Amino acid sequence: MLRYIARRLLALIPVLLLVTVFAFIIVHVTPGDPVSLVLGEQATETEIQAAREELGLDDPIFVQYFRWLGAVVQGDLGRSLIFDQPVSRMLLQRAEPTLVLASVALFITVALGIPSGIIGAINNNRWSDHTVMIGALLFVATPNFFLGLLLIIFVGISFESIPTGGYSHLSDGVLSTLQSVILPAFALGASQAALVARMTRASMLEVLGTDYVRTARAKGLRNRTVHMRHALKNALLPTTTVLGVVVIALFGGAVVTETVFNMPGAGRLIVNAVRNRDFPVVQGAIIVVATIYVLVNLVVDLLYIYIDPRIRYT
Amino acid sequence: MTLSRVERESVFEREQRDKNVIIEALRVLSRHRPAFVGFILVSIIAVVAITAPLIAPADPTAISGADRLTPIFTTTEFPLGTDFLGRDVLSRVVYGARISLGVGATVVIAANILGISIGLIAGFYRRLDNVLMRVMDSLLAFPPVLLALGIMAALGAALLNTMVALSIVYTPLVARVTRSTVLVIRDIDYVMAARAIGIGNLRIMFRHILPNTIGPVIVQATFIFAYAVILEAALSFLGVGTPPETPSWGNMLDDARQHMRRMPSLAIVPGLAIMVTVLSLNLLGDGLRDILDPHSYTR
Repeated sequence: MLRYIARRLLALIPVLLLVTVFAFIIVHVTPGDPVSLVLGEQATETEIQAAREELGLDDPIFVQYFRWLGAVVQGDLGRSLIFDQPVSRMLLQRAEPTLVLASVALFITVALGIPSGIIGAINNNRWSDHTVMIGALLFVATPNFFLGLLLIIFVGISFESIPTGGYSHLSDGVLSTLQSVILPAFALGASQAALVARMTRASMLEVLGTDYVRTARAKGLRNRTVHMRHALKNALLPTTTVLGVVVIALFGGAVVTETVFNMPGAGRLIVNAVRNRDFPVVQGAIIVVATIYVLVNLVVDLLYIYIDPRIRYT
Repeated sequence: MTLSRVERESVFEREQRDKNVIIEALRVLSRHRPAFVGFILVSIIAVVAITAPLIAPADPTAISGADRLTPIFTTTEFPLGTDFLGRDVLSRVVYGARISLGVGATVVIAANILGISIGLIAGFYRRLDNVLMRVMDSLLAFPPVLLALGIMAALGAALLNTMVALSIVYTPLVARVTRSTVLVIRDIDYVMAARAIGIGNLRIMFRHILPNTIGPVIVQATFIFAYAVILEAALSFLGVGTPPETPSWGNMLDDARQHMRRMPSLAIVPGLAIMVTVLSLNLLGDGLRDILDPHSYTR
């Protein structure tokens, strides 16, 4: 097992290296000189030349890449062109709202998605199944930013106690934090919950059609026992694998949702950086998120082996 | 004697069927009700997009200070009301279909050309497989929104750049599906036979392997179309996609934010347009998957 993990970790290195290459390319294919972007249009020729030398922009591109990579590996993601702060510190400062938002959204996804999927499968082709499936179809098709706007319009008007924007930090009380993220988390989690519901329903239906479930029924077990003790565990296997995809979709979606709800998180930082063409921030965020993503996928794969003993790590 | 006549007849029948392949496809599709509903809706939206200049009652970019924020369903001049600059919402939604479907279609075509080529090469030439798929993997290591944002940061906000960014984002999906199908087909006897009689690699790839990958690729393409519609709207909504004056659904949602508490319809109309488009594409995609892949889960 340990050897398997070690090999998987080693296999991550080329992928992560390519990620840094992409992040690096993004800045260097950009039309326009980054220096004039920083110094403004009035900069004189000598000022520009001095800045270029200071930033090492006159070195060959490979030298620039490896120097930059060396810094990145040590956790130095550069400085923001606009705020003149270290990118790593900016990302850390804004990590909390994003993490809380994504976690609550993940909770909503699982808490809504899995039970609805099970209800749909158990009541196959009855009205509750149709309700779940039609609901899932609609939520999958609703972009999180539109759902967010709908929530702001309708919930914001009906229930004034629920905030429709901003974020309350954990240090100011967990309850007010949860209150401030409930709407964005629902907007973010709904479509993922719908995907999970469809996935759970489909695999539950498949498991319910297998011989061992028939055997369980034949020996006179109650429906409840058959569903919960026998079928559910196996039915949830495919769902577990998509949870990794869900987690990352939530992180991606958070970028948009934070903007809809004016949350001061890492997502909105990224969007503003793209608008202002603050490249070090964009680069840094891309590397951090891609690394998280790759690690999440690894964890999910390992979890899968743990849950399903039929899978051998080879 | 009889055998050869039967054979000739079946060949003749097959030719007839090939001629009517579109009618045949529609017939199969019409038996799967959700897929057919999706197909009809997508067709209607496509017709709206193509004939936008004929359907739209007004110029979608014409600003009229006197008509600012006309409520929905109150005048016949502006059936869906006007936005904060007095632009006709109906005309903007109709023209928005052009942007959404135009971007979606372009992205599907570009991502498929790139992705199928990469998938074919990776599946066919073992030596290149590792390199190409690692590059694809690392592109897949980004959430789509973030990768698109990064590319848009580099290229700048413009319609063409949106198409480029989304095509790059979705190419790896096509490449992976194509490659996995190629890997299965490559070792089937008939490909061996083709190789044995000395047919060249290119011909084997395009004549013997490519046609068999088409099922999964078509299904994937439908979903990519839907993702692209959402992601284009998201980028415009965030202000980094199509330029703000362009009548796209994402831009309309962004414009609506300031006034939506007073006039929810400003957000609801373009939002519903996105929803219906994505919903019909998903219905079509689910249906095609059921039709083309007998092992599929969702039923």
